Amino acid sequence: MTTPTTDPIERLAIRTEALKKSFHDPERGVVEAVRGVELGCRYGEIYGLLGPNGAGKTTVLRMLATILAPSAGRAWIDGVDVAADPLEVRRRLGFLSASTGLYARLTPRETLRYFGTLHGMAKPALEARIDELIDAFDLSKFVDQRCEGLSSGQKQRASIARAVLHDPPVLILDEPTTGLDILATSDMIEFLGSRKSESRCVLFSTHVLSEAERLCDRIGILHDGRLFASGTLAELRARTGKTYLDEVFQALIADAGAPAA
Amino acid sequence: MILRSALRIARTEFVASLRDRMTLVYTVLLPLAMYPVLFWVMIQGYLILEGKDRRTEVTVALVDMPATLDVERVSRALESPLGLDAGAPATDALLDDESIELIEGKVDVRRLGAHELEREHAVRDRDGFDAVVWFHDERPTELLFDGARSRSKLARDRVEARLTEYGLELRAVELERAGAQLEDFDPFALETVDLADEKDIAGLLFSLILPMLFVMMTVLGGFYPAVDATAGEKERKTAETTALLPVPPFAIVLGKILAVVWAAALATSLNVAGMALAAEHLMSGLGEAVSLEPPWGAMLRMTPFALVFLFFTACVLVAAASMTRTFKQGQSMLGAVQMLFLFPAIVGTLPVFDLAATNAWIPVMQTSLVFKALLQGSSAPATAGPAAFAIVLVTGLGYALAATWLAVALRRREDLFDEGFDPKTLLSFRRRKLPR
Repeated sequence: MTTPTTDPIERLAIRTEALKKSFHDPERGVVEAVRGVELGCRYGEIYGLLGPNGAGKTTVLRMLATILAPSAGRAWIDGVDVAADPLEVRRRLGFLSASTGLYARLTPRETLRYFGTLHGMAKPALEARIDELIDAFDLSKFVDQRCEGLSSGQKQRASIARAVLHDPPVLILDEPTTGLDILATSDMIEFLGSRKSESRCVLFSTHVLSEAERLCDRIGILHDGRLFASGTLAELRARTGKTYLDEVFQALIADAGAPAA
Repeated sequence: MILRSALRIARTEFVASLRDRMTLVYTVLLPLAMYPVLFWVMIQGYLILEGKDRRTEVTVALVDMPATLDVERVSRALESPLGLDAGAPATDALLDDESIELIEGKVDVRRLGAHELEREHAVRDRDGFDAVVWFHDERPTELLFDGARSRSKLARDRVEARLTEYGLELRAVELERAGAQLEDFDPFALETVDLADEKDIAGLLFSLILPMLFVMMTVLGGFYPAVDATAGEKERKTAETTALLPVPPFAIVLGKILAVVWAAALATSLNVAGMALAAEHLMSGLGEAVSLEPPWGAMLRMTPFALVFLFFTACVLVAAASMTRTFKQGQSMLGAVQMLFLFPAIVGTLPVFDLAATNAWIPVMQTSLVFKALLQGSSAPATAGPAAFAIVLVTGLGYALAATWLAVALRRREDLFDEGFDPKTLLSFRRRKLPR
């Protein structure tokens, strides 16, 4: 197990250093999906990762979640190196994406018990935590129904409960509001705000600029595998001279396009 | 810690797979119901066919019958299920003797002259005779029948059996008149005596079917849970959820393998139980003297070999299915794997192969051979000594460990985790591994 360092820089909740990922494609050869991303997210901060399709957002998040191994560079979650100690990283991380579905034939309660047990939670503490999450995410009506019969919104609430069950200091969400209706989206935004107020770090990717504008303390723009802009909305506005985030985004993407071309 | 996590994962996977309808059918319902249903169908089929045969009346012609024979008595013998003269006083007593096989079915007898029938077409005409007994002066009597007609073959069987019996009766009567016995002229009249006890016979019968059945049910029982836990997981988009568990990939793979082991063990146990019950019921229903009680002692000695094989099979199924991305691909892949298991299992049950040190290392076949030897007990060949058993156990464990390593290695390949089998890249060692 990696001992978290006391170095102030490394005490960032999420940090990456020249993070790279390349895939071998039988037809296209080596494809560089992420090209040296440098990222830092603080505790008590919501960081939004924006970028067009294929920019490499999901790949970055999956490397941080230890689902993919970086080809080069390093990354730390709560001070723990993702390559050196992925198990410890998973204990300190809550991760949610379109690919982290719920087990269709288990109920939300069974899923929570399953994850809680494997996170090493003692039974009384686990049951108390499950009750707490049932209240927090209003799961009581369907907590004992099999997940295959739940609506998208119910599944998303149960998935979030699964991701925060072990109360991780870092939460990474890949397009968390995709497919949700207005009410469920509103609940999600409220939930992300609550994590921030509990001094947790939230990193999420999104296509919805209004969400990022409303929620994020800082925003990173990822394009063609590179993070070429990162800062508060005010800083990005100042850099581009644009007012609205969609204009800022387009201006930054256009800037990024030139060297990439 | 790893084992505890693996057991927790196995429990969840097992419960989840039993909630799948297909798994439930293939792991519980089919193994349990297969033999009772199969035996019931066999009995019904047998009864229907036998009943049909008994109800079928055949017409037989006696052509050019010599005057020395009593036509009335011959006709009565042909009409009697015993093949004896029904008018004789001893016949009624014989009819009550259950040890004598009765040739049931009515025979309608006609007597004709040679000029009344054309030999070549005597039985080929469907509306004509079913069999013809044609007597000749200079050469043996012919029994003409049509081998392409079941009714004609039935007539042949009845005439052959009954006239043979009647011939013996006539000879016995003549010999008795001369003060001799029929047996006096046949020094090789044998009465066979089987010294094997019920246990030996049951062991032999089980050794013919149980080894292959065990292999078949292990593969069949583990088939759906293995696909469900690997390709099914990718299809349902929960593979990534599982990858987030704070346990090493080895524990995840071991958990899945154990879940498949449990499912396969459940299917096999239910199948053996179903077969034993059905066989017992079948035997009692048919009034057979042999009891088909399973050889429990031999089965207990088979347990360590069975466990090793269950584990090996589960590892292979999980490893193979983990190379696929969808349930359908997984089924196709394991369909091929299933054949790789069945072929050596069938070969192992053939009587020409017995367990020996030279063949005890062959995967799958070794299981058939060792089961066969254990079930045959004292009747097993001398080659099946301790060395052969040790080879089966050691190599079986080795294969199981190698298959576990393969399953874990495949799980840790990013391309297989995300996508699936690509023959072009499968053997490439440049594949990047997932974090441990």
